[in-house]
Amino acid sequence: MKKDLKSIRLIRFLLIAISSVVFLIGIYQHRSAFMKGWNETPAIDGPHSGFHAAIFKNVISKEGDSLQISGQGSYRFKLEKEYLVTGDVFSKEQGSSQVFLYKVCAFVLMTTILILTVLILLNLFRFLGDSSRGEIFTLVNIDRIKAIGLYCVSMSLLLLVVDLINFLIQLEFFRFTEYQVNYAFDLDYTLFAVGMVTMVIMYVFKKGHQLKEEQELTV
Amino acid sequence: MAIIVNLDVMLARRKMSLTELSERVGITMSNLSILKTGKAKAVRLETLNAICEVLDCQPGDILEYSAAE
Repeated sequence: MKKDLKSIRLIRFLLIAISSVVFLIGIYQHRSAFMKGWNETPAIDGPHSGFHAAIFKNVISKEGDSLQISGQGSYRFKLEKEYLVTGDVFSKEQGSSQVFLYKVCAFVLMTTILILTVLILLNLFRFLGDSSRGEIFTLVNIDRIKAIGLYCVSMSLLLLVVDLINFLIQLEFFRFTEYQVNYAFDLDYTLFAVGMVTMVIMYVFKKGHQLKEEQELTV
Repeated sequence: MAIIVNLDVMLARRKMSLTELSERVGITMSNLSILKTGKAKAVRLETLNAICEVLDCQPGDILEYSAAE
């Protein structure tokens, strides 16, 4: 039992350490986005925004224009206007109100996901804290496990909605072109499965609590 | 629960305190209180045997079934 409690303490320490490192790396990698604001991330801004700006705003603006693109090494290719657009010049402002609405939805959802992530870590941290003291099969811990499971399932579904919103934003970007944007269903199945398994574990803990209570009330 | 524990009745009949029973049976006071107040979920035969031995009674004198509850 003492060895188990030591292992739990080690897991708790690793959880704090890994979470802190991941958080710090996240801040370091996205520091420019943190400074500029929430709507400057490439994922929300449409794919290859620089590329679009180059094609639709500046380079190919009149008939007969073409675009030379240089890739890595000596890789080059030429794009003609007729291959790319119907003639309307793309502008971000054209669909701004709708895109803004999508962005607000995406922001709200991403904030909710962030809060859920914090809640999951907090619950896990408290659960490990109680477990390291030997209080494992308690009603509080059962509630914590249930919450973790629900949050994981909710997060996977919310990520799906975020994906859908990203698709709608991209649809807006490509509205004035001949391009067709296809929606690819992409559920974070691992997160969903983890949530479901956690819910099952919750029932195991419930049974454990029941057995513990029974054992304690046996004279 | 439909099982009623009449330990207090037997203790009164034998003019014995809960502390004395606890000492003679070798069960903690808290466990005997659980049994006396009817909070116990199970009683070991070993415990029942020891209580009956000390109180000089039958298990039926301590435990009673009531369908009404």
